[in-house]
Amino acid sequence: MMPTRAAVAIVATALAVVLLFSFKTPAQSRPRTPAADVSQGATPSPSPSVSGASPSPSVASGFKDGTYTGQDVFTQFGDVQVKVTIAGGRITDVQPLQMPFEKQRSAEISQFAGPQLHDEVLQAQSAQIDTLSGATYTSDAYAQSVQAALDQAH
Amino acid sequence: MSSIVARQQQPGPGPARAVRPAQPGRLLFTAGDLILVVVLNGGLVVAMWVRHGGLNQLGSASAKLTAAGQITALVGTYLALVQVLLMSRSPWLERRFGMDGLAQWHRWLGFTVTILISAHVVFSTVGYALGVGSSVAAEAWTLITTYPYVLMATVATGLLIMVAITSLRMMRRRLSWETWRFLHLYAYLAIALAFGHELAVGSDFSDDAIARWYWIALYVAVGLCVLAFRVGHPLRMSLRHRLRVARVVPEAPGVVSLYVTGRDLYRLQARAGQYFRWRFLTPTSWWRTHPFSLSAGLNGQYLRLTVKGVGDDSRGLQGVHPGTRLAVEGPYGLFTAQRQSRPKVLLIAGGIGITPLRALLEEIPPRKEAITLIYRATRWEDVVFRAELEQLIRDRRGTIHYLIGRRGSPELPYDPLSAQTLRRLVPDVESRDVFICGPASMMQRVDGILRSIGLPSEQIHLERFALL
Repeated sequence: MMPTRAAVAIVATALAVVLLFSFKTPAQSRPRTPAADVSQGATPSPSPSVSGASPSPSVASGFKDGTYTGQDVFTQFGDVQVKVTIAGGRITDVQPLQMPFEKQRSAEISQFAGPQLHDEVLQAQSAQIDTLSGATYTSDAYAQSVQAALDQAH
Repeated sequence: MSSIVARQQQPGPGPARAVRPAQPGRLLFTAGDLILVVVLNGGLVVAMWVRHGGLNQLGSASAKLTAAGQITALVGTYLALVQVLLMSRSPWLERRFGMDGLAQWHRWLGFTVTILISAHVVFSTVGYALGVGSSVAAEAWTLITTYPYVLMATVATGLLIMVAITSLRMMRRRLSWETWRFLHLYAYLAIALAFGHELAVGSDFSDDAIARWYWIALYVAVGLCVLAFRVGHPLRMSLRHRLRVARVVPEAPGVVSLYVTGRDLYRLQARAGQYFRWRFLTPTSWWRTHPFSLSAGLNGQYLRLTVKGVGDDSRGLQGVHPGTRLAVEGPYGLFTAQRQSRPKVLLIAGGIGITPLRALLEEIPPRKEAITLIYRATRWEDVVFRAELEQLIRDRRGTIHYLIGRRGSPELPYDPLSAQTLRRLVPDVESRDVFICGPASMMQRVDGILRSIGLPSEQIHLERFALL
């Protein structure tokens, strides 16, 4: 190897390394309440079977109206805690108070899993939801926190 | 001819010399112990993955892939550290495995590391993509642009693959040693660039302080070995001995002997047959070392190395002048009389491969046991040290056979290195230790022939590095 070629390669490498180090990943997105995006689209489409007239919803589940905060559930990826809103005896919204955003990977999973778990709870009208593939811990903790909130609503 | 001058100035092998051959010394750790330590640490790394739930993640495809991505990363990176250690020129490794043994391991492990790290990239990206339900390409982009230090790690993977590709035999033939060597140094950069994302993204380390410190300790230990033996040791040796080329003596067309003098040479500890790595402090070659054997035993007065023009740069060595300063590290190599297991000896030299054998011959004491030297060269003018060799052999009542000429030429109608020739020249070859040094192809052939004759490997000694 010619010494000049080597020198050029070394300088280019040093420049590239400096550039690499100056690259900053965007500040990790902080808990961006995923439910906020979804709440409008969710349109609670209450009770598919019951005829639109007399809602008499309290019969179905017997939840008392109100907003209930679930238990803070610890997972190895971070804490999960939700707030459940009951209106007309039905679960109308689930807001995440805490989701694992500690690390990029957890944040990515939370952003993906949050809205889906929200929809699942509204559909099931209970904490009996399927575990999302790839977000096992978050799903379980989410269900647990929802259940804790619902326990208060009885 | 100047070579005659060299011979006249060459002190005879007989007189007492202030040589202090390195004592065999008992090794505190055996090769087996060291292998055990490496394997145990590898086991610890795997155990760390298991403890962090690596095996429990085997539910969904995403979790399986992510767990596979973790274990390939952990083992691959651990082995990359072992790779650096193998090449740290640590005497405690070299003395047990030999530089050529280490190099073979390094070659094999190098490709393993590259495959593991590539697998890690694929598994993790696909696993993450499945986990969040995005496409692999989109997830790869997310990983690179939003995960901390993943861009650096991506560059590191590219460098690692480049280093592996340039080391494939097919590519190696097309590159000069110097270019290959230069590109190979990028492996260090790759290891450094990958480090950030291991701690920032690797869940094994970010959530477990003990694991994190253990991982850092592995890096520190390997780094210290590199620093001590690639930097500290050569610096200390060079400052202590302050070596200079005293004389440059042509031995044959394209072959010169360098006589190197310095301070306290009697304190150098080396066995005949070993080599040092020499760094010629000239504007063109200061940046690399050359592994050259000593071509004469230690005598406290000078060191002699004999060099043939091989590779881009060592041709330039013939321009090395008296007065040129040298840095040195070593000694290295297991090609010494210490490994002799039988009283009788056969030395086989191919071309410039004579150099360590010439030194070895000097160290084998004159005695009744038979000693035979077979010296293979293509032309008579390539034969070096003829007078010295004949003197040394005469003192030892040994025999020297020259096998000169191109195979099949009228001068050399028979195959010079065949089982029959060996048997004819050395009828009791089975009962001897055989030391071979020469071109790789020749050594391989002779090694095969000796094994087919029935010599156990403990009686066959090869020196692969003398020609580099």
